[in-house]
Amino acid sequence: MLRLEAFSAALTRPLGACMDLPNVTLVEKASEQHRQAPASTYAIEALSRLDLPADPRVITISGPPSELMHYVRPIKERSADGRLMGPGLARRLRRLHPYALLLALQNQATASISMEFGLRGPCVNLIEGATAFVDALRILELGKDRETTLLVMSSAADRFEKRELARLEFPDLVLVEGAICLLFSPQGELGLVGATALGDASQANPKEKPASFPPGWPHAPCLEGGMCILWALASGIASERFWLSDGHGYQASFDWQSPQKP
Amino acid sequence: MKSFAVRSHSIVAPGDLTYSDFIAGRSAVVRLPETFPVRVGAPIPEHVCQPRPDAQWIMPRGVALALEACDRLEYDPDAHYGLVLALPMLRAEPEYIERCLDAVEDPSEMTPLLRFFGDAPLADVATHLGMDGPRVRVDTACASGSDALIFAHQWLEAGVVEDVIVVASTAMLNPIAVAGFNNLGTLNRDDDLSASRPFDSARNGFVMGEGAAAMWLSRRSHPSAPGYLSGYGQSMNAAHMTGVPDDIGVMLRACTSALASVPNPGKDLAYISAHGTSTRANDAAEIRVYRELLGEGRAGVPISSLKSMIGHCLGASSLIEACVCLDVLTNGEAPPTINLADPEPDSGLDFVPNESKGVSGDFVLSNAFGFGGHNSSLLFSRGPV
Repeated sequence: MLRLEAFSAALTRPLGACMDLPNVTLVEKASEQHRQAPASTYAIEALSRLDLPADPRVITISGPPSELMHYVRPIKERSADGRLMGPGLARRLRRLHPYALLLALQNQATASISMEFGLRGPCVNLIEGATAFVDALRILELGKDRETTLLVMSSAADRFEKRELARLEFPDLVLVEGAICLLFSPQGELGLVGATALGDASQANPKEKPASFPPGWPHAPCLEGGMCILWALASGIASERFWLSDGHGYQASFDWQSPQKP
Repeated sequence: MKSFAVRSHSIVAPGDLTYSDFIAGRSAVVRLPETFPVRVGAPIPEHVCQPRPDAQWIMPRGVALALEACDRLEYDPDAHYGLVLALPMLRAEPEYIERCLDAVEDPSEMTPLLRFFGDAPLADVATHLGMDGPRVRVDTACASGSDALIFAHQWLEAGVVEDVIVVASTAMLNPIAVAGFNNLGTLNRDDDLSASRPFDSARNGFVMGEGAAAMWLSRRSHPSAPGYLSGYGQSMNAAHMTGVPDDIGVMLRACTSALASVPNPGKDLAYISAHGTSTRANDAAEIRVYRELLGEGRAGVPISSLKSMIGHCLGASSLIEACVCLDVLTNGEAPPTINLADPEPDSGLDFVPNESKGVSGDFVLSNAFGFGGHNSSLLFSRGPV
């Protein structure tokens, strides 16, 4: 299992007692701006609270970094016939901000933390799903006895397109944006985290149901694994198996163990 | 580092070109309709990837291309596989954008877009392949295909599964995405079918392509395996979102990590597949990397850019190029860099100008240097190392 050395989070909605943990902070919802994608803003804010070693192995898990619609909508609104597509499209698209697409690339937060903190080591970015957290643990465990590794989850999903798409399936959904960072090292003393299962839901033990968060907690697919860790830390859970689901019949699980008390 | 066998591979390249077309130096670059803000691009022919009918959903073109690559891949449908999918930026597809814009008044209009949402694309590809194993989606921009393959190697190394199918696909050859790159100043704006000219002194931006590829990577050796993934390297530039670093050391580090098992790259490498985008900055940095990497032996290692023929297929490009690297190992013939009339002077490198070249050796290197500063190198070998 991986040994947790440090953690931090920057979240736009409170997660109960987790907000009393050190390095966990409530932040304003980041606005769309040309300089930096909202998800990058959260990731940089959270990561600035950690002491980072030089060039750790990094895995990022990224939700939407920004809203491309923010840049495209004004072009449609200014067109003579109120449409984006159609005759004259190439001319209309000259108004698309040069950074519009760049800020929507889903490795945006990955690139931003690399530039901000000078991270030059091996790095991969996984996208979208809750279960990516367990995939990341599996890979980070390859070096658990010899290297420091960093897992950064970030998302700016609480905006029109993702929010409305999510509500089509879950009408009462409340989304949280933000970033959660977990630093693992061979000397980590805050707890043990390890992947236990990856696969189709039909292979899961039916007695082990996916974990559900306390009532009132907001939802964030790609932050969910990190939210489980924060919950375990804040509520003093000694050991727990957490199940994560992608909503399409695929589940993954990981174990949490608090440090052994002498 | 362990070697894992490539059991099969497939590509869906612009123009539906294949390895033999690449050896012949054929180009897939064509003129684009006037709805595009630039004049040339490298599309997949319409007959190759028809929209897959579904009464309820809109299938993203990126997913449709991925499924086409899967259909062309030889694999055992009864085996247990993991799936690593590199499928960036579905949200830049015009149908998605248009429907989202129209849905401001009535969000229920977005219902057909649920296939773009969250893990749906990953589930769709897994279902199409009949897979129930672990699955993950990777996005490191233009290095996505290579990084997906590295992730698969690590899964095999960790013993997560015995076999992994890696699929990479990108479909951003549409007016909106092209405008995004064009306004950023990275695209070639000439009305010229030879506009994709990596390593040429007159290079002036990349030509947008689209495509997909798939590869079956296995822990089990097989006599018919076209090659083995025997090394890889990754690093980040930490410098600029679209540019390259002044210090090429980080790019070089990805290459040298991949080549850890090759004692003398200048002598032992049969071929290097360059990232070679045809932008001024990337190609200049790559020339510096290869001069340093190969040292005195630099003139003896053929280096070419497939993008001269198929443009830049973004997230799919590095997996397409990896597939072609395996074909080079099998056939002993390296594809040329076409449109190379005036190579950068004094590089001392062999960019295989305009005509293919016979190669010998047991190792090939495939490089990708992506937006955001992702550097990713793959080493393929004829046998396990």
